[in-house]
Amino acid sequence: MIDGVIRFLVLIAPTCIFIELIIRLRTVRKARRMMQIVNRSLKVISSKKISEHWKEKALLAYSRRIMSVTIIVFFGLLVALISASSVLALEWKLFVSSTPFMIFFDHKDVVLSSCFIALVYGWARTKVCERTLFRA
Amino acid sequence: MSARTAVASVSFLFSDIAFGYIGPGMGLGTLGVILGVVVSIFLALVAVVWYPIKRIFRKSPKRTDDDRSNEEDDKSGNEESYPKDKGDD
Repeated sequence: MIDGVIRFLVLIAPTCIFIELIIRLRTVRKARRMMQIVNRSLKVISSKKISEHWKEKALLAYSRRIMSVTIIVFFGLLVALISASSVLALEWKLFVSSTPFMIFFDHKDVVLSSCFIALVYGWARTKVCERTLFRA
Repeated sequence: MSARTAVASVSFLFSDIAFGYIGPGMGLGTLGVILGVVVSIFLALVAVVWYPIKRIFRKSPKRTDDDRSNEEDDKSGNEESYPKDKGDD
C-alpha cells in the first residue's frame, strides 16, 4: 500500500513533464499534420483528374514530407521520454532506492496512475490556459 | 514448429517480469512513427517503381497495336491507303 502511494507520488512529476514536453514540442500537431499529408496523398493516388506524371512527382514530394514530419515526431517523443525517465530515475534514487528500479515500477498501477495523472494534468492545463486566454 | 519457436514459447510461459513497459501515449506515438516511416517508403516506392513500370507496360501494347494496324494495311494493299493514285490510273 505504502509502495503504491510512493509510486503514485513519484510518477506525478515525470508524467507532467512528459505531457508538457509533448505539448511544447508540438508533437501532436506534427502527428496530425502527418495524417493530413497521408490523406492528401491517398486522394492524389485515387484521383482520375491528375495525370500519372504529376502523381509521380506529387507522391515523391509527399513521401519526403511524411518522412521529415515522422522524424520530427520521433525526436519529440524521444526527448520527452528521455527527460521523463531521467526525472523518474532521479526521484527513485532520492526517495526509494531500496528496491531495484525495474521491480519497483513493474506494477499494473503504474499504467493506471500515469494515465490518471496525465488526464488530470491535461484537464487542469486547459482550464488554466482558458482562464489566461479569457483574461487576455 | 521449429526448435527456436518452441523454446521461445516455453520461455514466455515461465517469464516472471517483462522489464518492458510503454504507456498509451508513448505506444501510440511509436505506432504513429512506424506507420509514418512505412507509408513514406510505400509512397516513394509507388512513385519511383509503380508509375514508371505502368508507363512502360502501357506504351508497349500501343506499339503492338500500331504495328498490327500497319501490317493489316500492308496486307490489304497500298491501293486502299492511297486512293488518289488509284483515281489517277
